[in-house]
Amino acid sequence: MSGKGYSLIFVKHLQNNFSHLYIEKNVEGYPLTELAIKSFPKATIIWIDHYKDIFNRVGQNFQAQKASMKLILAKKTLPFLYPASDMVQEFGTPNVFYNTPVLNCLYNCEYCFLQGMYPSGNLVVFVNEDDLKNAIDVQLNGPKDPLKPTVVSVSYNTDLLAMENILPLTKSWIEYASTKNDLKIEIRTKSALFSAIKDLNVVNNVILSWTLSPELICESYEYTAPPLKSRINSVKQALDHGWPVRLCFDPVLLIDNWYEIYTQFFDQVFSQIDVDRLMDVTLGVFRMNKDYYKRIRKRDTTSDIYYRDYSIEGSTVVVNKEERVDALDQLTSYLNKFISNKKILVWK
Amino acid sequence: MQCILTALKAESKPLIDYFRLSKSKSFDFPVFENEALDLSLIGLGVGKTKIEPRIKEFMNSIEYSFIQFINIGIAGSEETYSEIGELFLINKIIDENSGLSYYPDILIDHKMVESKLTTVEKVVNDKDNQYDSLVDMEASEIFKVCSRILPVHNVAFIKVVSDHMQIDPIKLSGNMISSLITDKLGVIKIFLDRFNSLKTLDHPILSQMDIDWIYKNKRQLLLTETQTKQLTDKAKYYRIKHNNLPFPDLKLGKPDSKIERKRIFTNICETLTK
Repeated sequence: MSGKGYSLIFVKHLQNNFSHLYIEKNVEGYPLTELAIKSFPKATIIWIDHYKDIFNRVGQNFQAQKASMKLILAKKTLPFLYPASDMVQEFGTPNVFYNTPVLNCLYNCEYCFLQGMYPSGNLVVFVNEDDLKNAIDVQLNGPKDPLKPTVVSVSYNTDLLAMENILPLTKSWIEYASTKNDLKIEIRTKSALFSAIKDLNVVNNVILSWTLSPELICESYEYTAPPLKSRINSVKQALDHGWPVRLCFDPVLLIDNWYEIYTQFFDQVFSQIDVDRLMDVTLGVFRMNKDYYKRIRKRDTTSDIYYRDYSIEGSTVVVNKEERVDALDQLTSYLNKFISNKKILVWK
Repeated sequence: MQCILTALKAESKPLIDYFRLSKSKSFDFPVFENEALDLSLIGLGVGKTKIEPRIKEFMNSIEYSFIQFINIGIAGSEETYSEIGELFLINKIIDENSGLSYYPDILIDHKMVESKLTTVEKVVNDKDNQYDSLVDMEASEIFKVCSRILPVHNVAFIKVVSDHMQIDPIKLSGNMISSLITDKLGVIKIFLDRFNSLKTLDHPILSQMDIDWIYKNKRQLLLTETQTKQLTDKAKYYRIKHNNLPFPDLKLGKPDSKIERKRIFTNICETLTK
């Protein structure tokens, strides 16, 4: 189906993930630093001056490093908050931002832009969480549109919930959001770790967003993330607890027989999930910043996704317009069997 | 292939003997090789000066898509930090002159203790305890040169402690140095074998046979550069989807016109992406 045979080439004697902690000298003593050291008692600790000395080195191989990821602990400097990319769905407010508590992801989905965005496959965790939160406080005091809520995605460049058993970052962001009425935070994930936050009180301005894909896509392109069944179980638990939940059918990959594959998948999902309790769903095809796409190609990626034909629209590589509009119309129409149009956010 | 980098003859000798390396006549500096093991050794001399020209000349003379460099040699140590004869894999190299730090990627599980190391310009007699771990005279330059040539996960540094930086360097004889390396040859061999397994991560999508197939079609169909790039993309797609299948056997004549060429080219691309 995909380049899985290539990407998962078996290498004997690899170090476990996080065999090494690279820690900026100036974050010694931060609670998250201490916690990370405790979480990996056998890790080799290497003290560094600045995270970029290791994360931005020349000559790194993103995919090779993914085979044995290292953890870098650092202090984030300005900017602490970024305006959202035009590649995310419009959420009905101009006050949309993302921040980067973590750079890179535990997973390694073949279509993910992170492999083109970062030179390294290692993870950086910024331990000065308060600085990131203070920046949001400032934004809340002067939003672009004061009548609309401010939305911040805290897991745009990572999968925060996937790391919850290592560092309780999701919990920390949920607790922060619980004190801010005019803020919505989105925590997008593919993890099956709802259990790690199940004891928290429901916070209505926190959206837990699960990216779900047909099993075939999970096995072929998202094989480092939990299988569909586990993700659905987590979604069900979150809904049962009363959390606002968004489902992200994004990216839809237009592989052979995509219509049958995705419509059967929708049937499967909505036979298990009570659609009336969902906040909304998002839908979008594969798309990527042109520079990231080029960089991934240059690294001789082993995913077939990067050897298909696409259009370039502005600075975005995307499925050509006619094909994607047709596909998204067909899928939206099918989704209407389960959910009304106003609850479907489409990136066209 | 793997290539060991050493500074001193006394470091090289036990490695040459153990891996049965023969002197190459192609270079005017010490290069030894064992084709069967796909292993070479370059003698770089002491200090930084000859590192870049020798590694570059070696690289220019070989045709390898995969190569790893392993610097094996002795290092001085702060007295309480380690015992003479202890072996270390280096995870951080500080260049004393520039103040820059370099970090080799350590992806392979190994049985050595890891350490940082400082690369200095001159032989050190550390009466003032200025250094808190290991010291050598080449590692930072080797990392700097090699990381421009190949991915950083394919460069490694193994050091055996030879002295505590308080002795007269003349007393450190060649035999003593060789003996320190000889004692660690078993561990070094295991590391080299494991390190070599990383080559599977650098496996290119297209084999030489695949590339030959693309260029055969390019010549036959008089493809433009753009079409050749497109054909290469489709060929990669096919290879990813059909790991072990040969490319379609196309019996093609020379096209009579650009239109005919385009038609044939489109057909090939469709065949590859079916």
